[in-house]
Amino acid sequence: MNHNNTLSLAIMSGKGGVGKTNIVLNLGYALQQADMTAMLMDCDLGLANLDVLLGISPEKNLHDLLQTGVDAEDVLISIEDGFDMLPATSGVPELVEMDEDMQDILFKKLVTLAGEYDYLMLDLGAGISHTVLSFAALTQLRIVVITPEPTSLTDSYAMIKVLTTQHNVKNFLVLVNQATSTGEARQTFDRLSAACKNFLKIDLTYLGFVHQDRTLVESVLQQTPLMKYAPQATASKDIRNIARKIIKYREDNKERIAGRPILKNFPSI
Amino acid sequence: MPKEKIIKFQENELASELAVLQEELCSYSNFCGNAMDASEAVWVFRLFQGVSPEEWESLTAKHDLSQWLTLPINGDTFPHLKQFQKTLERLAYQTEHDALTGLANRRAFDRVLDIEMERSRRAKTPLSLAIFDLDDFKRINDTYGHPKGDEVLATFARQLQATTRRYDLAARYGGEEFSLVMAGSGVVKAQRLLTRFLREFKQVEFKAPDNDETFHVTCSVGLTCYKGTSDLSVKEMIELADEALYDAKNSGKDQVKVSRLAFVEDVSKETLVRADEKKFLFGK
Ligand SMILES: Nc1ncnc2c1ncn2[C@@H]1O[C@H](COP(=O)(O)OP(=O)(O)OP(=O)(O)O)[C@@H](O)[C@H]1O
Ligand SMILES: [Mg+2]
Repeated sequence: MNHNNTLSLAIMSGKGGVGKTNIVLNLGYALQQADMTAMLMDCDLGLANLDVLLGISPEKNLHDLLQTGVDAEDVLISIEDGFDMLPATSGVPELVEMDEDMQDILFKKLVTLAGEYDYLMLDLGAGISHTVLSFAALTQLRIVVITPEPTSLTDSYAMIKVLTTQHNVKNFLVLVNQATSTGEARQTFDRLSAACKNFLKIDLTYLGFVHQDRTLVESVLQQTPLMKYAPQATASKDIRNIARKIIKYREDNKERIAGRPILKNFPSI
Repeated sequence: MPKEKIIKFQENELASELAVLQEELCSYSNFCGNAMDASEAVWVFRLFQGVSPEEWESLTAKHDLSQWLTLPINGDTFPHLKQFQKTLERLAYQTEHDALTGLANRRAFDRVLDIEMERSRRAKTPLSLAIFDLDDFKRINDTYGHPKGDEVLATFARQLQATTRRYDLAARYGGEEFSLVMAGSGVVKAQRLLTRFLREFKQVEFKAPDNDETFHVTCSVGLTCYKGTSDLSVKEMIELADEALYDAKNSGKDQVKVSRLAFVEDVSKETLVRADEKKFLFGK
């Protein structure tokens, strides 16, 4: 097997609208600004959002990539130098539940190119659909985004439970978004973590938190990523912190990453 | 000795010999009309001199020997093989079809249901099974006579065949019981088809044999559906449909009832978030 340098991450949440897409996009910027290269894939397959936050309307998307003769390079969009994005489709229900064959076509086309980046990040749709679960099981790491809301907590717990019991996935990084203080963020994490330890016998890793920040809401309305819109905003700083931790993880685990494929089971043959 | 006499003599001897043999062999369970298993089957040959193919044909008709096949010793075998083939086809048809209604019989039904369940298990496609029972059929027989009862059965069969799709299998399951295997249909689709069928069938007008009176017949249906998710056996699936049929009868007849559904009950509970887990999350 080729020596692998790419760290793959899935960004996910049980509950929708907790901030996954904003976080992954700005995380990409933060990584790029730290001289890392990243490929970002919008995996909210039937309801694309990444392009909207960027204020762009891509001509080609993931649906095109599935067609014969279309390669990843044809569909990939450059956001910044070394930071590229693969847009999803909007309004194609057939793509929401991607079967094994479609996933195979897709990832076969992507995996070689993805190997040229330092990071491959998948922005997953919320919930526990088959597609979400199978994508989540493919990557080396998973970032579960939660907020202090009780509904976010139960939904994420349910998602972790399904992945643990049915997909044998046991390692999760948890990011608390929209927290009003360090204490509240920590408390939110501790609850989820204790439940997982108690009932599922797994240990969650705390990746950190991002403050509730009005500036982020503004940046969404402006369709300009927060990192560009307000690089010094509180949430921007938080996201840079998270990026630093991820970079450190990649540095510290170079050997482990090298021994594993970017995506589990790919190439499949 | 004149030729006439020889044949006469042989005919009686032949008929009684075959009758004895047939009776003997029928005591072996696998002989009389059960599944053909090559390892459990033999051809029985007996040389008969002086019988022509034409004479044999009239013999079979007269003595009900249609299961006995002949082979000529010499001469042109082609017409014989054709006859052979025709007989085999007729026998094959008879083993899988009900004589009165022309529908598949119980044996064909069992075979098809088994295959379809396997397909459903592998492809995780829905498969519905309906069992029909004509309401108050005994009363129809008692009131209008058996020939009328047979007419009702035949009409029901014709109508059922006409309502169903090409890939459904309609079968006569027992006396006044019928079944329908609907591959690819889930509960909703199957129920829609059955409800329409029930409505149409009870509009059919039957005439009483000896006066101007007319009457209508209704039927009850038990429906079950398999989606390949659990290890249901053919027997269990039939039992489920039977339970639902029983339910339909007890609820006033002339209706479709759906059984317990394995694919609903078998939803994995291992991933379910329980109340104690939720309480724990909220620190209560
Ligand atoms: N840190 C934050 N501070 C304030 N508002 C936030 C923050 N993070 C997210 N939001 C709000 O939440 C909204 C939803 O964010 P986003 O689209 O990133 O969520 P998502 O988890 O990707 O949603 P979906 O599940 O639909 O994909 C944003 O438009 C913004 O209004
Ligand atoms: Mg999103």
